[in-house]
Amino acid sequence: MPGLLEFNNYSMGFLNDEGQVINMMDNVSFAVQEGRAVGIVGESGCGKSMTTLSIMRLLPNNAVVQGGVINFQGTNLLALSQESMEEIRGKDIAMIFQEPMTSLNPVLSIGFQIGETLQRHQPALSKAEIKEKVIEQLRMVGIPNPEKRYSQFPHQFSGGMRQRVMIAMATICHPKILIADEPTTALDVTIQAQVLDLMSKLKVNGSLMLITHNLGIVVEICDDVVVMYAGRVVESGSMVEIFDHPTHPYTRGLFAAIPTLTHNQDELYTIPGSVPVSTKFLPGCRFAPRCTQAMEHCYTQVPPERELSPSHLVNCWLEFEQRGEG
Amino acid sequence: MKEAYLKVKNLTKHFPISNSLFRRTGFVHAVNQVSFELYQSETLGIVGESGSGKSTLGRVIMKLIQPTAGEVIYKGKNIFNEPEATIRRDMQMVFQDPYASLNPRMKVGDAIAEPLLAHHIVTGRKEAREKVCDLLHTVGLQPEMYNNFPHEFSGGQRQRISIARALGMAPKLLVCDEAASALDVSVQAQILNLFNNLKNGMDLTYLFISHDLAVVKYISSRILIMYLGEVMELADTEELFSKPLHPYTQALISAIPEPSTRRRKERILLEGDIPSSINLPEGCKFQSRCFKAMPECVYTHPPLSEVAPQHYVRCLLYPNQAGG
Repeated sequence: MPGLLEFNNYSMGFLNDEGQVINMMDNVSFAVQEGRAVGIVGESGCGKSMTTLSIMRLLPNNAVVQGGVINFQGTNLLALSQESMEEIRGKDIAMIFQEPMTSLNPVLSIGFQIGETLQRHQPALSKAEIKEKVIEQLRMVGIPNPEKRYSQFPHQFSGGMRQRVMIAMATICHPKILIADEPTTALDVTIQAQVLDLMSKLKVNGSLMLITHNLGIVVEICDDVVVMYAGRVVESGSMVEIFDHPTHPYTRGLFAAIPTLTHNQDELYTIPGSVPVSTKFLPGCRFAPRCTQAMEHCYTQVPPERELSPSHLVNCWLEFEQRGEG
Repeated sequence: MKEAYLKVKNLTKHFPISNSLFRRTGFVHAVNQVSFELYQSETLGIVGESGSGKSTLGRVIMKLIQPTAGEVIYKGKNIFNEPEATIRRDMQMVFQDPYASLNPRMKVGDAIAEPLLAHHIVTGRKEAREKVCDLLHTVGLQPEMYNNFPHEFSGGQRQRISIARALGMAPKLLVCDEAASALDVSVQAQILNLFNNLKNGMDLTYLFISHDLAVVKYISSRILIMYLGEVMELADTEELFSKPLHPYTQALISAIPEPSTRRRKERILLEGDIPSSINLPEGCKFQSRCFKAMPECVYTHPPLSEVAPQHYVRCLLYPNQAGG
C-alpha cells in the first residue's frame, strides 16, 4: 500500500568549504500511512531534523540532495516548483517546532499569526470569518478565554500555552500530515502531559510524524516507529513490534540506557562513545565502532535490510530469528 | 540513625524585582523556609519543575548566592559566617551546560589545573599536570587530551571535564545541577554511571538536582520534591515511588511517559501552569492545580509533617500523627 508520505532511497549531504559533498542521510526509505502516527527516534546528529526539513524543502543553503524521492500523495515534493511548494506548506503539510518562543513572532498578536495561515490558503474568507475560526481553534486546543487571548502577544503566554498556540496554528487548515519536531522537549513534565493529551486527541484527524528522542512519548502517541542512526534508518516497524522486540544493537542499547520508573536498575547499560559527525561516517555500518557485536565486514559493507516479520525491518549484518505475524 | 552531614535550616531566598528605578515592587520567592538534612555518603535528589527553586537552592547551599534568611550548618558552623575558602574545597558543583561552563580559549588541562593551583593543592605546574592527567583518567578521558580545547570535545566529554575539575579539590560534597540533562540518552547513561562509580570510589555525597524523575530515581537514595520554593515531600526513593503521598508527587510520577507497551495506569492530568512565584497563594502553594484540593487548602498553609518514619509531606490530607 503506498503511503501518504514516502521516502524512497532519499540521500542528502552538505557542501563543505572544499566543494565536496559530505553525505548525511543515506538511502532513507520509510512511509507514513494515512491516519497513522509515525515516530522518528534517534539521538542528536542522527538526521531526524534533516528528515523534516527535507519534506518541507527548508534545508539550509549548503545542503545538497543526492538522490531519491519524497512522495506526498504520489507527487515528488523535491521536483515541485517553489510556488506549488508554498501551496502545500501549512495547508497539506504543517509543522510544529521544538521551541515555541523562537518560532512565534514576538511583535505580532497570536490571533494574527494563526489567521495568517488561513488568509494565505483560503483567500475567500472575510476578516470576521477568519477571526471566528481562529477563536474556535484556540478553544479547541484548550486555551482558556480565547476571545481575550486572540489579541495578546507571545510573551503573555506560558511555555505550554505557546506550544498550544503552535498546535492551533499548524492544525487550522486541517493538514493531511502534521510534523512535530520534539514538540514537548522544552516543556515541564506536567505540561508535557497536557500537550501529549491534546496531541493524541487531535491525532484522529490525519497522519502525524513525531520526531523525538523520548521513547516514552512514542509509546503514548505512535503506531509506527523509525529508528535512525547517523543518517540511516537502522530499524523500522510497528510500535508494538519495535518496543516488544527491539532488535538492532543500537535500538536495544537505546532502550537499556534509559532510566525508567518501573524497573530497578543497578547499573545502566551504556553504548560506548557518541554519535559521529558526518565527516567521520564509515563506509559500512555507521554504528559499527560503537557496536559490541560488530564483525569485520560491518566496517566496510553497508548492512542489508531484513524482514523479521511483516511489520518489522532491520538493517544489520547480524543473524536474527524470524518471527511470524507480530 | 545516620548522622547529618549538612543541615539546612529554614533557608529562604527572595530576589527583589523592580519595575521602575529605585522602587521595589515585589519579590520573587524562589526558596521558602526549606529545611532538610543531608547524610554522609547519600545521594539526595531534588526534583521540581522549572520555577520551583531547585537551582536557587543548590546555589545558596554552595554559597554562590547569599540567602535572605536561614542557615546551612556544615561541621557545626553556619557556612554563611565562614570565609569562602573553608567550604569551597569540600563542596564543588557541576553545572548543566557543558558548553557554557568551560572557557573556550583555555586548554581543558589548564582549566582543570587552575583550581588546583589557586587552592595550593599542588605546587608548581609540573605537579599540576600530573594531577590533571590522573583526574582525566578518573573520569574516563585520555591524559593526552590535556592540550585540547573545549570545542574539540563532544557534550558528554565536556561534562566529564567539568566533573574532573570539580573532583580536583577532592570534595566531600558534589552539587550536580541538571548535570546530565543536556546530554543524549546514550551519553547520559555514561555520565550517570560515572557519577555512581565515583561516589563508590571516593565516598562522595551528592545533591543531585534534576527535573527528570526517572534519572533521579536511578541515582538517588532519597528524594526531595519541590514546588514553588517549598519542600512538598521528602522520603527514601523506594518509599516515595511505592507510596507517593502528596498529590503533586503522584501527578509528577504519573506524568512521565514510560517506554513500555504494557498498559499503564490512568494518568493524572494537572490543569494550568505553575503559578508565578511573585504573588504566592496564601494557603497550600499547590492548591490551584491540585486534584484533591479541599476548601480549607485555600487559606491554610500546611506544615511539613513526618507521617511515617523519615517520610515528610506537606499536605492537609495527612494530619501530623503527633497531633500537631
